[in-house]
Amino acid sequence: MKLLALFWIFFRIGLVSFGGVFAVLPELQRALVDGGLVTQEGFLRAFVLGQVVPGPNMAMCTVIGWHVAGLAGAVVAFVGIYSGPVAIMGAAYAGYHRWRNVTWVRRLELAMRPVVLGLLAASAASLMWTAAGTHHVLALLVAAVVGVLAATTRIGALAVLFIGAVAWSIGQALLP
Amino acid sequence: MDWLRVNLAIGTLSFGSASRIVLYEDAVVRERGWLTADEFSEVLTVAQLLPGPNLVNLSAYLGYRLVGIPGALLGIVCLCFPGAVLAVALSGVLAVDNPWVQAPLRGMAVAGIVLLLLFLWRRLPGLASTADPGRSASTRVRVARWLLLAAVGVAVLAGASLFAILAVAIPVGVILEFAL
Repeated sequence: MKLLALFWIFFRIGLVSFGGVFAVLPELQRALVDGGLVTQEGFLRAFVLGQVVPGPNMAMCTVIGWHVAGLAGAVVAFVGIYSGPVAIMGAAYAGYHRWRNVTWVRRLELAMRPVVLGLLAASAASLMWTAAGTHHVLALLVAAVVGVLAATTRIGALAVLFIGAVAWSIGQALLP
Repeated sequence: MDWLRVNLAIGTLSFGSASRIVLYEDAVVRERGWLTADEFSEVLTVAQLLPGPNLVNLSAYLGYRLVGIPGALLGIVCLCFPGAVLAVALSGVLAVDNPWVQAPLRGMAVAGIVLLLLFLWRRLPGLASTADPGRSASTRVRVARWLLLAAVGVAVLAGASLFAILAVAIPVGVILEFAL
């Protein structure tokens, strides 16, 4: 029963997670903490972990599932949170692919471009703020190095991330 | 198999939220040429506006398109599994307060954001497109689209809820497109 309840919480919240975990953080907290499944502290810990590990930050849901009901809980949380959006994308793919050459569908996609670019630009700005923390100068230096490299050479995106990691570590060792 | 490898690599090595969509563009458009830049733009719009983490949505949509349903599902597992396992493993030995653990993570996050900004820069000319590939949009339409982009950005940074923003911005975008 606990597993079923856990699945339902994550599935329901996955369906409305526009843009990722941030949009549903308050709702997750209400369902899980107020529902007595995890403590406030455990929730925060899971959130930090979700931000730290690679891949989607929804990884926090797997951590919570693990702490509530072990391996089965982790699997249930993993499947619960991702299955809704993945099914919706399947339907969207089928629909969009069939009609994408119809003029009004193309115009709809054009109409949404500014909204999508605006969302991404804003998240880039606020992420930069979070990533920099208190190290503003170092963040700017790393951004400049990476930016010049990425804009002028053809190195792959994963290599650029690696260079960023090395540059920040070196900078942190050198700067006071 | 190549598709699974792309997902596994991104799932293992990508830090920094929204900036990771660029990794898919790099892998699928620039390195392998499976999609054109314009097609990728369309996919991104769909992935961004529907519920779910945009990285997962993007992987799902590209997977359905490139390798069919089983491949798409496996791709998503490859994408999400490393982080989920790592998060559970780390939840016993949380050391994220250590500055030397944070340094590479912060560096990767900053690099990811820079990549995202470069990606956005390449997407901007798309704001001047119309449904007719041979014709570009009038100045009036272009200005309106820029204003909408700026308004959405400011609203997000001001802390408005995503639901509210989409509820307003989607109808406004549609009206701009079909009425101007």
